[in-house]
Amino acid sequence: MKILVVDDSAIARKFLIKSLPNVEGVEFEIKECINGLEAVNIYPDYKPDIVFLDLTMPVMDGVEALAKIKELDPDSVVYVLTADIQKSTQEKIMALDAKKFLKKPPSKGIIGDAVLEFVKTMNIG
Amino acid sequence: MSDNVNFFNDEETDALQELMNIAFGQAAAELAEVIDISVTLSFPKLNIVKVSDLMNHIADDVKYINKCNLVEQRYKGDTGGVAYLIFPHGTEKEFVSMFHMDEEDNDHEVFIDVEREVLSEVGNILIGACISKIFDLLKTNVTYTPPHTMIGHKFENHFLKGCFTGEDYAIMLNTGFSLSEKTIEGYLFLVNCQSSIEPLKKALADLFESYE
Repeated sequence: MKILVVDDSAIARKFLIKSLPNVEGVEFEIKECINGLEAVNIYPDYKPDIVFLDLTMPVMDGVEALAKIKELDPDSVVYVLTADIQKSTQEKIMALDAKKFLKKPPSKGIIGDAVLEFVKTMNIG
Repeated sequence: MSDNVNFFNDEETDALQELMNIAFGQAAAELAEVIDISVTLSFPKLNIVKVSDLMNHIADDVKYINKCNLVEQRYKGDTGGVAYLIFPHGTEKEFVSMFHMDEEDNDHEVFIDVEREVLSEVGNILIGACISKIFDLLKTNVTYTPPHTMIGHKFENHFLKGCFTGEDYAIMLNTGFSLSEKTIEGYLFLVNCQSSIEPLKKALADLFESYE
């Protein structure tokens, strides 16, 4: 299963990756991007199953990246993981059809549940 | 990082900036709930600076340092320091309006106090929520003094007195932000004293270990 982790902070990417669950029969292939533009550029070739996307990033922020990823692939599964937990931000993100709006810092419980839900939906593992 | 002093390695620096990002995000959400605005966040920065150079570093970011609105709040625990929330002078009236405090009849003397009250409340929310969240994530406790609010002052060296000694280094975390479609821009500086370095490094090591 391919996962794209998009965050300008290396430690934030590391915390997220460390929070991924062990799922029997599922192996994670992970790529990391440091801004939204990198994610948009890599998306068509990499074709990730799940994108974990931060919002406050240089070069291209997560809101713009989400909109562009949705243009490229309306069925993309994007989990926004952010420190910007304002209601107005959440509404904007959900209007752009993000699958989930998750609050930083990541925890094994929250990330695990989100990934397991996806695995169940896709009937893999 | 400034002054070529490496008290923190790259991973620790990144983690402190990320903690500030998370903490300020929470603080912004709390303010947005209270006054129904949106807050645009930017990327926090960590700088290690000589206390004697602190003013210059703050002035690099805050262009209106000669006349600003300032909320200062000190905190103390395993780590200690001072938080400075800085807005341009004149924004106090916009905050009064955002809190709908301008709908009441006030004579001029009382109105000044309303502006100070409102700024203190903004400081309480942003500083309090931000510091609480950072030290909560680091699993260490701090206590606060009440906020001290100044309207239309020059940010001066004497604000730093009593907290730091001139030859020490300060660990300065700061983030810029804007409120309500960028009508108000502000900065939050958390200036930690040099003796905070070891407790912060220990707390960061514990945080890293929790993700192993």
